[in-house]
Amino acid sequence: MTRIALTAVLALLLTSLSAALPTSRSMQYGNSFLQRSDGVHALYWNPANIGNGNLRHGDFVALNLGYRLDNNFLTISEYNDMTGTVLSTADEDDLLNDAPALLCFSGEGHSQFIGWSQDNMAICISTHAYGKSAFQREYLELMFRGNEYNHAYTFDNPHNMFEAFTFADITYGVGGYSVNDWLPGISWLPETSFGYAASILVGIASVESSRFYGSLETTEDGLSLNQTIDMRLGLGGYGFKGLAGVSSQIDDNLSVGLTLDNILGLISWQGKSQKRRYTVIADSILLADIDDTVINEKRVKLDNDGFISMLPVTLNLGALYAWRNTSYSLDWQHRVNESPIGNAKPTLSMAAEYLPIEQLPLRLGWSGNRDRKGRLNVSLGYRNPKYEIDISVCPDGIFPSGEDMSLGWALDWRLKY
Amino acid sequence: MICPLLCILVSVLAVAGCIKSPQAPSWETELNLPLLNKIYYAWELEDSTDFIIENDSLFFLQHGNVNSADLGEQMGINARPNNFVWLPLPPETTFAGALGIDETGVGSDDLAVSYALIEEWTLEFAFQNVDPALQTVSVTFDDIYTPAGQPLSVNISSFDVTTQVSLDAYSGEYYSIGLPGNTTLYDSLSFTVQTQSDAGAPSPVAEMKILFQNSISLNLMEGMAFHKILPIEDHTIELSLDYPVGADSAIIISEDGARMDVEICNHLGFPVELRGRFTAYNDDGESRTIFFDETDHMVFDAATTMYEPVNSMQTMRDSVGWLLNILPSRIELTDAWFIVGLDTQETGFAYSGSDARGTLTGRLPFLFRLTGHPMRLPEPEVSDISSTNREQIEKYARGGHVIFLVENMYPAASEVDIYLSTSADEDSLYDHPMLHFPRDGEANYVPAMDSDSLKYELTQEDILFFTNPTIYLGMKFTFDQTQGDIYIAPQDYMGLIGRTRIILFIDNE
Repeated sequence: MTRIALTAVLALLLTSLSAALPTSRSMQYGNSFLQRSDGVHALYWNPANIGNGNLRHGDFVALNLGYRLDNNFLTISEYNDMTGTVLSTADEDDLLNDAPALLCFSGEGHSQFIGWSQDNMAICISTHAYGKSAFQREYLELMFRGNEYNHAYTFDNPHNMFEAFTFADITYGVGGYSVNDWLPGISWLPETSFGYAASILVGIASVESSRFYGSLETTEDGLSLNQTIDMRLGLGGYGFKGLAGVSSQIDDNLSVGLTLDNILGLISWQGKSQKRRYTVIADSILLADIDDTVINEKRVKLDNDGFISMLPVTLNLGALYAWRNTSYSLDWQHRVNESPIGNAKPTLSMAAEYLPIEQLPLRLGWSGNRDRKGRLNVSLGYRNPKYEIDISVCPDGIFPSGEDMSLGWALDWRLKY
Repeated sequence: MICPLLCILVSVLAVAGCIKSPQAPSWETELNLPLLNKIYYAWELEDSTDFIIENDSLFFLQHGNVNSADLGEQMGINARPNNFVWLPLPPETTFAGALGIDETGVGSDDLAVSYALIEEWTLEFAFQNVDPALQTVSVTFDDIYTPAGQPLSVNISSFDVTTQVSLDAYSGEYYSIGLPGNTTLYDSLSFTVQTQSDAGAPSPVAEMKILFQNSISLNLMEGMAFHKILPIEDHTIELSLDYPVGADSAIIISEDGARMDVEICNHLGFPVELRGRFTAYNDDGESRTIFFDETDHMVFDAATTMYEPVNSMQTMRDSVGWLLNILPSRIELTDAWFIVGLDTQETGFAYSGSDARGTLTGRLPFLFRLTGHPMRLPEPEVSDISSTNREQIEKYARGGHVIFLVENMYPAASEVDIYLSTSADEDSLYDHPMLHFPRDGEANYVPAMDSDSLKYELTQEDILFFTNPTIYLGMKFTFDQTQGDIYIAPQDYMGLIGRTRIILFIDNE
């Protein structure tokens, strides 16, 4: 049990430890960034824009960091209030009353270790981590209320799961190729550019619960429990993914773009990979006979086979409209299937930027989909012709407050030349 | 440059400062844990040895054995003392005589033989005052037959030494007294003496004496027995029952229905009657004795055919319940014997290896009167608590309660007291327990044929009792006094289902 719990915690820690954001700049805009990206950041969003934007020749980034943690039942205030304290019954009531049937945790983190762009070319090394877990509310009730007599508690898939996934990439991309030059006969085609990027992926670790079953029942015949978890673990792997995109400048104010991400995207875990089953079974435990009770705890290695994590092909559409000292963007993202890096539901992102003075951009971003409540990003930056520094937070409302259930932070800077 | 960096730094610190570093909280929770689940059915007493169920009724049994001595070993014939006299032998003549016999093994004339096979016998013929004219002496026994069925005849021509004639059985061939089918009882063995001597021999020509060096040992006999005493081996019935402590005061066993069945397998061709005494002892040093005498008429049938024993059973009811009412742990059968051959004039038989043996079965139905005195478990329940569990109890447990669901399916209401101690000594456990339930105001009464939940609060101090490595649990049942007999049916039971609700403090450390 301890090992299982630690593994679950580790899965979450992996996420927060890799608090990095190769596209930390995109977080300033709530990931409505397809047509806002340029330079090194365009490697990951739309390589067609590598040579676009207001850069004279290119940019340089290093150690940009960002992460985001979400849950659906614990606010920051509640977290602060309960951290290291002794919970009263009223505290427990508050937590339980507000808790949904399914307690979800998720997080992601990205780091651009170092990156550089020059004219139409960019290269970057970055790391990424994703994690999510879900548990039934009854786990929380067991913690605070204890178990009820003659009541069977059952925990199984898909309500109870955890998975984490972390990898690094070395990405090279080129862009800014004019499509108009290739298709001179199409006069109505607005100014359009094309770009692509290829990433060599280095798998660091992957862990997921492929099967989860737990039961606990206390009757006059004794206490019976069964906890079975099949866990797929991968340490060390390699892979590839491709990204291709186009960008069109419709007029002076409006541009649109389209990308296809994760082309041939996969990571093959060939290092220390294995599938394990952890089982704890005990039947009819009576306290009076506790020392004679047999608790079967097994750790079985089911296989040592390597496995492949497929990265879902993702279609992104984006538009950017600039007007005076403001700009507005709208992105639409759709993954073809479920994966650790996100769900398959189409996601909508939008952002607005306002520059009260030339050097001080203020931004508000939002993204969400049908299965996930919207995520807000509030960003503040400073820019001049030589460098930019931006910082964003992820409140649930317009302003960060203790009632937020999300915690995120991103710092982005770059030198421009 | 400095200004924007400072602004961003302040923002970072503001964001970081609003989140405390992770540290697990502490809280109290309550765990429901099953403690024990024990159901004591009356039928569980049924082990085919001490308890049985017959016709849906539960009986307590005592089994014992009755083994008599081998009557064959005691079958013998002695010569009467007046037999050993010197007989003057006239010359050249024939005369008759007789040896008086006493068919006994114990010194009284308690057997009469009409036909018998001789296992071992040596006849001796001694002479004195022998005149040289005596040539031969022939002695013919009219009632003793050779294996060939001829009367035994002994010719003696040497008179200087005692002549011995062995009638021992060899290779299954027996000399016999009488012939098969003879119904005449012998009280003497007749013989005829014929002498041959030279002419002119004086009279008497010699004197002769016939001796039995030992009694005649018989292999088989037919005839009659007259109150022959056949001893029974002493026997002790050990009862491996753990009676509740105090049960002898709390329970009065109804004597209605108590009985002692004695089943005897009789190899003897004579009816036998059992006499003797049973003495019951309990662990408190108390004893009770009942006697089997002629008033009990414990007479068992005779076998009608040799080597085909007959079973018969007699039942004794008087005083059996009284005997068993002290809840004995040991019953002894002592000073017991069979009387072989009663006042009838019927003939019978006995043979080597024949005896009377059988079983004693005391049956006591579960029918009681309860006096209201308390009873306790014979032995306290022992629970060992591992060091790991002790540490966790000490560290995390804060209190709680324990609930016993007592299902009293016996036909008498009862109070239940629970005692806990670290000492197995019963006085310490029951007189000075470390924990005793119920406490003031707590219930412990369970009606008859009903169930009730008994809830007892546990303080943190109580919980710490369970940090002892070994704890002993004693229980005391005080059944209500009953006015009449109550009957315990096999399906009656006492169920004890215990569960605890423990308040645990989950420490963030």
